[in-house]
Amino acid sequence: MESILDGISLALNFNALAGILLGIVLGQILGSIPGLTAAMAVALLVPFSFYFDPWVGIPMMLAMFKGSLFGSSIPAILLRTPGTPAAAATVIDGNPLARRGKGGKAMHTVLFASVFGDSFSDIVLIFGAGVLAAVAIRFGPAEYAILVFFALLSLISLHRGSSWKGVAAIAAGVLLACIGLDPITGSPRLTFGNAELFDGIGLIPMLIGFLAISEVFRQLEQPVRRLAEKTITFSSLPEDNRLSGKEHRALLPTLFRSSAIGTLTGALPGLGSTVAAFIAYNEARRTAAKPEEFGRGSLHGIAAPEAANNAVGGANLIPLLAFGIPGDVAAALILGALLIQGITPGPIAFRDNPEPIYAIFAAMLLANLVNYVVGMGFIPLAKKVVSVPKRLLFPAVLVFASAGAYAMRGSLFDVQLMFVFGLIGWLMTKHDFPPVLLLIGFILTPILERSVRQTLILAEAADGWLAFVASRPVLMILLAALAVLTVLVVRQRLAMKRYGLPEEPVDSS
Amino acid sequence: MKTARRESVAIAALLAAAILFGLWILPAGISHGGPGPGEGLSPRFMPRLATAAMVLALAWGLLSSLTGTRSPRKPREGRQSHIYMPIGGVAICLAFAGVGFALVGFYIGGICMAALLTVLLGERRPWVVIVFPTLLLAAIYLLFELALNVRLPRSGLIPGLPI
Repeated sequence: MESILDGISLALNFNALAGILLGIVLGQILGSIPGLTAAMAVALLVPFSFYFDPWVGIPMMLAMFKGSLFGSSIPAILLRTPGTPAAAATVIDGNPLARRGKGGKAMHTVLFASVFGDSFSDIVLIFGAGVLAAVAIRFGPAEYAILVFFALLSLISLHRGSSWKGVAAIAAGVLLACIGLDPITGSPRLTFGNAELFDGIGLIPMLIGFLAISEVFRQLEQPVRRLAEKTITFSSLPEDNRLSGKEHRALLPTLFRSSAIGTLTGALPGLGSTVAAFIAYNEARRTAAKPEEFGRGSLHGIAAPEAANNAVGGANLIPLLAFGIPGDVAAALILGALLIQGITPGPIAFRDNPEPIYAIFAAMLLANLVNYVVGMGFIPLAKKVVSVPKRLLFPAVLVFASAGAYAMRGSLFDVQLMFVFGLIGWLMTKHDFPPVLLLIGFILTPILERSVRQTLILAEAADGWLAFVASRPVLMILLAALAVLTVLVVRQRLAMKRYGLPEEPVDSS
Repeated sequence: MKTARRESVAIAALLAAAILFGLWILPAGISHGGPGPGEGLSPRFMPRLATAAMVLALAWGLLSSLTGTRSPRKPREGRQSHIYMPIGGVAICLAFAGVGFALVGFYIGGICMAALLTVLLGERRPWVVIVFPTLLLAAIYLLFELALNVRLPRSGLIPGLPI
C-alpha cells in the first residue's frame, strides 16, 4: 500500500501535470496531421525526454501517445483522412455522419469512446497485468495465425459489395505486402533490384495514398463551383453538436465490448490497434439492433473502433510492464525511454521497486482525464480548421501529406508511391473495389505469413500435426471458435444472396 | 449494354494481367524457389496464393459480368463527373513527387505545387494563389524543421539553397 501511495505521489505533482498537459496538446495536434503516427510522435519525443526529469518526461510521453490517438480520428471524421492506421475504421461511419452536418456529434463520440477505451484498458492493466500477460505469453505462432484468420473472416463478413471485388482487393493487399525481403530466408521478393523496396512498401504512404489522396482525386471530379464551398458544414442545432445523456448510456454496451476486444488484442504483442478496431467494428455491427445504419453514420460504428484502438494502447503496456516485452512500436519506444531514465520494467521491478510502475499507472489515469478536458476544447478548434473551401484545403492536404510521407523514412520514393497509390485508390473507388480491404490484407499479411511459416517449422519438429495441435489447448479452442465463425459467415453470405439483401450499403471504400 | 461490355473487357484485361503476373513476373521476381531445410514454406508460397486468389476472383467477376448476374452499381448521386480535374491533379502531384521536389527542393516545389493545384481547382485571385501556398509551406517549415527537427528535401539543382 505504501508503494502504491509513493508511486502516486511521484506522478501527482505540478511538473508531472505540466508534462501530461503538454504531451496531450502536442499529441492531439500531431495526431491530427495525416502521416504523423502515434509511434512517430513518441519516437520524436524520446530523445527530448532524456533532458527532462523522469517524472516529467515519462508522463509527457504517455500523454502524447494518448492524445495522438484521439487527434488522429479528427481528420478521419472530417476529411476522411485517418491520422494513424488505427483510425481507418472510424472513417466508415464517422465521415458519413459529418457529411450530414453532425461532425460535432461524431467528434464528441470519438472523444468519449477514446477516453472510455483508454481508461478501461488502463484499469485492466493496473489490476490484471500479471494474469493477462501470463495468458498472452502462451500464444505461439499457430495461435497468432488463427487470430489473423479471425480478422480476415471478419473482413469478409464486413464487406457487402460484390464478393469477387472484395477477394481481389484482399489478394492485391497480400501481394503488395509480399514485396521486400522474405521474413524467414531474407531473400528479396518482387523488388527487382530496387533497394528502396528491400524494407517493403511503407504502410504510411499506402494508407495516405489509398485513403486520403484517392479521396481528394475523387472529390476533384466535382464541378469547380462546388470546390469553392466549405469542405464540411456543421449543423447549428445544439443536439447535432453534442452527445446527449441518453446517447451516452446507449453506447455503453458497445463501449464495454469494444474495450474488452481492444484490451485482449493489445495484450497480444504484434496484432496492433488497427486489427482491434476492425474486429470491434464488425462485432458492433453484428450485435447491433439496427445493423443497416452501419456505414451511414452510426454512433456505435464510430464508438466501437475508437474504444478498441484506444484500449490497445493501454493493454500494449501489459507485456511491457509485467514482462519487459514491448507489444508494439510505441511500447518499444516507451521501453527505450524508461531504460534511458534507469527504470527496467518486468517482474523484478514489480517485486523490488514497484513505485515507478504505480507512478506510471497514476500518470496514465490522469492523462485520460486531461485528454478528455483538452479534447473538449480541441473540437471547436478542429471545426474551424476544416471550415475552409475545398479548393484551398485539398492542395494543403496534398502538400502536407507529401511532407508526412517523406518524414517517416526520409524517402522521396515514399512520396511517389503515395501518389501512385492515390491514383490506384481513386480508380478502385470509381469501379467499386474496396481499398480498405486491400489495406487490411496488406496489414495482416506479415503477421499471417510469419505465423504460418513458423507454425509449419514447429509442426515439422513435433511428432506430426495431430500431436502438435493436441499439445496446445489454446490452439484447439481457437480452432473450434474459428470453425463456428466460418459457418456463421457462410450462412450470412448465403442468406444475403437468398433474400436479396442490399449488397452495397457500406461505404467501405 | 455498352457499359456492361466495356466492364467485361476491363475485367478480362485485368484477368490476363494477373495470369501474366503469376506465370512470368512472379517467378522472375522471387529467385528463391523452394524452402531450405527447416524453412517451412517457400518464399513464393504467399505471393502464389494471393495471385491464385486474384485470378479466381477476376474469373468469377468476368463470369458474373458475362452472364449478367453482377450486382447493380451504386448510383453516382446524380452529378456529372469531371474527369479532367483529377487527371490534372494526379499529373501535377506525380510531376512534383517524381522530379520537382528533388530538383527545386520541397519548399519551393511545395509552393509551386500548391499554387498550381489552387489554380486548377478554380481559384483566380492572384493574392490567394501566392499568399496561401507561401503560408502553408511556412507552417510546414515551422512544424517539421524547427519543432520536429525533420529535414525535408533540398534543391538538387541549387545545392547551397537553405530551403
